[in-house]
Parts: sequence; structure tokens; C-alpha cells
Amino acid sequence: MSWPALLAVFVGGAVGSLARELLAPMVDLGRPWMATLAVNILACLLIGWLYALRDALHRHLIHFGAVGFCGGFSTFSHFVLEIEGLLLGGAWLEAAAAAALAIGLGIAAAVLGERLAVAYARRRQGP
Amino acid sequence: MSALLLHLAFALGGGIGAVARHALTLLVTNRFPFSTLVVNVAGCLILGAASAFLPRLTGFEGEEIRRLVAGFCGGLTTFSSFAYQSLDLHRSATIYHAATNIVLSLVLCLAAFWSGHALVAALVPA
Repeated sequence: MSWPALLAVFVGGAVGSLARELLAPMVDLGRPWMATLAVNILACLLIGWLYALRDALHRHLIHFGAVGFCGGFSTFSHFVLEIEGLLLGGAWLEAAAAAALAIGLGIAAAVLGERLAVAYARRRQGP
Repeated sequence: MSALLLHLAFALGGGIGAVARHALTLLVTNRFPFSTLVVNVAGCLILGAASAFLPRLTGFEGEEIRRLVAGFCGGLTTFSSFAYQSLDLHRSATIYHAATNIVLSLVLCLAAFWSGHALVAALVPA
């Protein structure tokens, strides 16, 4: 474990967390859990993009962006807190929908991120 | 100034959480993403316990500690790696491995959050 890697992860995690704390309250999609959903989907898109370019990017950029930023920007604990709140409130269907949407759209976003990264890299290389 | 300090507490917690998660990832190397499962369960347990205990703290220091803990849990846990690793399991192993990761993560994290909350509510006098 190297110090530059740890620093990259720390700064990425701090910036990602701060970005979520500032952005999430601005997302108004009707239900409180949808802000966390939006943030998590965005993080999945970005991690898909970064991991698709893993071999081309500097490893500390992966440490900063994928491990740090995406990890800090996305959150599993707050996602679970909101599902738990729905379950305890008796909103079983909404809880199931929130979980299914997060996982389904999250994985779809990661695939989309990968494809966008590959397409963008090809365009930059030219025909 | 005070709002800035609260944001800094959240960011600091997030940074420390991310480093803790990365350190565990380096310790646990397995084809199944156990390290992500462990950090997610741990983060949910801590947030559950904190959700029962921290509201009792009052004043500005209380709010600072709440932000620090919330930031830490958010930085320690990760949804993006969980989603990416589920996708990766589907590709490198089978869809059943991916489904196992998803179901285990959901069930264990919900149980951890609930246990953390219930344990503190029962054991720590108000």
C-alpha cells in the first residue's frame, strides 16, 4: 500500500462525499430516496467509464476516481437507511421498487458508462 | 463558517471511510467481492447504531459528530463498486454468482442496519 495511492483514495472519497452532500438535496424527484438513487446511478456510470479505460489511465487516477470519488459519491449505507425507513413504514412495494430500481439502473448505468468510454476513445483515435 | 465546518466534517469522514475501504480491499483478495460486502455491512451497522444514538447529542458538536459519522459511512460503503462487481461476476462467473452477491448484500445490510439500531436502542439508556 503506497502513500500516493492512499492520498488519492482519501481526497477522492472526501470530494465525492462532499459532492453528494451538496448535490443530493438539489435533486427533487418527488420521493426522498430518489435523490440517493440518482447519485448512485451517476456514480455507476462514472465507474463503468473509468474501469473500461483502466489500462489506459494512470493507476492513481483510478484510485482517485473509481475507488475514492465513486465510492464516496455513491453510498450503500444511506440507500439501506431509506429502504429500511420504507419497510418500517409499511411501504413494502415502494421499498422493493426502490431496491430493484437502484440495482437494475445501477448495473445498466455501469454498462452504459463502459460503452460510452469505448466509443469516445475510438472517436478520439480517429477512423 | 459553521456550515463550512460541517461540510468539512462530512468530507473528512468520507475520506477516512474510503481509505478504510481501500485498505480492506487490499487485505481481502478473492474472486467473490467479499471486501465490498464486508464494508457495506459494517457501514450499515454503524449507520444503524448512529441513527439510534446520535440524535441524543445536542448542540453544534453533536451536529459535527453526526456529519462525521454520516460521511464516514457513506465513504466506507459503496454502491458503485457493488454494482460493477455484480456485473463483473455475471461476466466472469455466472448470473447466479451475481444474484448471490446482490441478495446477500441487500439482506445482510438491511439486517445489519436494523440490528445496529435495535441494539443501541435497547442497551444504551436514553
